[in-house]
Amino acid sequence: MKSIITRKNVVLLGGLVLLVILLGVADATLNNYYLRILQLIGIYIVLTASLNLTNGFTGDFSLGHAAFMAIGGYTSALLTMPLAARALQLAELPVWFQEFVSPFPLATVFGGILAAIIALPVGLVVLRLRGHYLAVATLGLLIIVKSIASNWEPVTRGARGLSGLNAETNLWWAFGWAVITIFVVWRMVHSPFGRSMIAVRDDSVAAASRGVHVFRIRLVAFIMSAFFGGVGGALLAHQLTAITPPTFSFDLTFLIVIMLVIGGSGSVTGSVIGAIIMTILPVILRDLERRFDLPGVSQIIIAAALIAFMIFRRQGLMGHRELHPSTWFMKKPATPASVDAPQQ
Amino acid sequence: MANGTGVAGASAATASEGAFLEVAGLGVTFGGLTALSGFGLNLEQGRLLGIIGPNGAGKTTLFNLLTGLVRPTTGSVVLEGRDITGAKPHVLADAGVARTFQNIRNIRGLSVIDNVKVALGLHESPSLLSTIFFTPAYRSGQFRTEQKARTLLQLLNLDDVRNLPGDGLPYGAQRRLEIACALALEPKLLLLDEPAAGMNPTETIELMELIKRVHREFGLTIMLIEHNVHFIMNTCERIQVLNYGQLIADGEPSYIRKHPAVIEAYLGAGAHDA
Ligand SMILES: Nc1ncnc2c1ncn2[C@@H]1O[C@H](COP(=O)(O)OP(=O)(O)OP(=O)(O)O)[C@@H](O)[C@H]1O
Ligand SMILES: [Mg+2]
Repeated sequence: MKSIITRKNVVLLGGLVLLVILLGVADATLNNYYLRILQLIGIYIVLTASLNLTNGFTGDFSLGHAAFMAIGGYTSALLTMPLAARALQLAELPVWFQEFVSPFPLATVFGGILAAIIALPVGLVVLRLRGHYLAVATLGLLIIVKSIASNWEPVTRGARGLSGLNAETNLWWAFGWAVITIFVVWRMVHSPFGRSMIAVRDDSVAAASRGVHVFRIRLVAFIMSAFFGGVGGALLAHQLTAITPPTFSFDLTFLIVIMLVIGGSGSVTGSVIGAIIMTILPVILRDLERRFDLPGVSQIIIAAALIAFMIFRRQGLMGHRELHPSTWFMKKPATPASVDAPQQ
Repeated sequence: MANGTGVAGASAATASEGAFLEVAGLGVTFGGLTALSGFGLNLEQGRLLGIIGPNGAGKTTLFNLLTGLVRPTTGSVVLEGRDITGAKPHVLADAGVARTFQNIRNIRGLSVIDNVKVALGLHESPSLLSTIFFTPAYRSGQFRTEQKARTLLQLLNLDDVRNLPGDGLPYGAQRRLEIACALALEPKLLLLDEPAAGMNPTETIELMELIKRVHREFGLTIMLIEHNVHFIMNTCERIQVLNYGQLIADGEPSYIRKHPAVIEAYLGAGAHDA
């Protein structure tokens, strides 16, 4: 068995230490505006990296990520809401619930778990479909979840939403979960699961003939993806401190998909890069837009860039490649699964 | 002919009670087209059966039926006493049926060795938790998988190219990779669909030797579809001939060679493609 102290692990540990130092410096020096942008980057990494399990690696194009975010967001909000806010907003719920306040980390995990639990029956139904049909069905899921959030007054308060949450999401939670997500997704992708996922994506008939239980693999990917979607929703809810049904919009679902496509679906590091770019770029462009007094131009520029991207680099920045610590110092890619296969 | 497979002109190869593979009345229609009908076969364990027939005769369809890619309209398939008619592909892989594809289907997004490891996953599939936490049991499992994959790749002379993408190999090598993946399932019954198609003569001879060797060493039961008549006559102990979805002959190579219906349907016209 190989030793734990490999060059790769040393690089990874060094990277983690560097991340912690950078976050510490940022936390101490940046103002609230920039801190929130940084937190958003962490949250979007969680969301994009997890969506990659279905959309990128298994080839199940889901547009339902915001639905799982909503489940995680509402669940965690209900669990952490301070007593004073509860008395006002959740008066119709049983007394025991009004007195039960869960710590934020637990609520986050719980939000993820409930999203995952709901993903099971949903997956059993929608994963009968593939391709466009699946995309539309998952969009339907988002409509259903939003409709429940809008109408289940006693629990969700309908259109008024839940507010008065503590702003628990800080840099540490956002990036802590980002690291956990990347770690879990990376481990899954570089394991028998990941190989089966890629096989299912590239040729599900061949995969099945080689013993892969195609439906089970797709379901596991869908559920794991939903878990982190729920976690991301919880993080977002506790950054905003108030959520309403429109918080979990089509725009949000599409934004995550765009982040994934830009970064390169099928690449873990690609999804991270996509999340970073698509969080920062709009901020910079909006800033320029204000400075030069050109309202709306930033949206147009981003849209035009997207179109250009799809024409000239459809596989995203990374394609199926990985930015891998070992490749920074060695010549050969260390992970055969990440070899960027040519089209023909 | 024992057990009455309903094959006109069948001879040789008499089947014993409870043969290894028993196929009866197997057929499928696509829309109006009958791709295969009334197919019967009793095969003992360890046999090497050849299947020939003109284009569109239903040979690949037969394999698709036996591996669960297509569900039969009629008939039954029994493997070692177990009824596997219409079972799902991964269930059949688990039951010991493996195949290669005529139109090569290696996984593009995986390296050569990872293609083999996908199939090896049938027998070594760790839990999600042990995967994420990288437990010692997980790592030793993956170590075993790596060793098995390397052994298979060496057997098929693919070890040097193991890190190339699954579709980045020359034609012959891709066909060998298909065989490696099928063998990785540790099958009892191996179905090879035109494994020599597109290979040059040297590669074909090597492949012939390899198939004979695998047949011997692994004690495998093999069904082999091949247009190369020379290849099949020299490799198989029994041959079935399909034409328009019908089994028109079944027997030893010497018998097939002289069979009038076979000569008319197949050998007469296209015997020169060796
Ligand atoms: N899934 C399908 N749907 C519709 N028709 C099919 C399907 N599969 C096969 N067929 C048809 O069934 C017939 C038999 O095809 P099959 O592929 O089994 O022939 P084959 O003997 O393997 O021929 P070849 O030597 O060209 O590979 C053909 O007419 C084919 O077009
Ligand atoms: Mg065929």
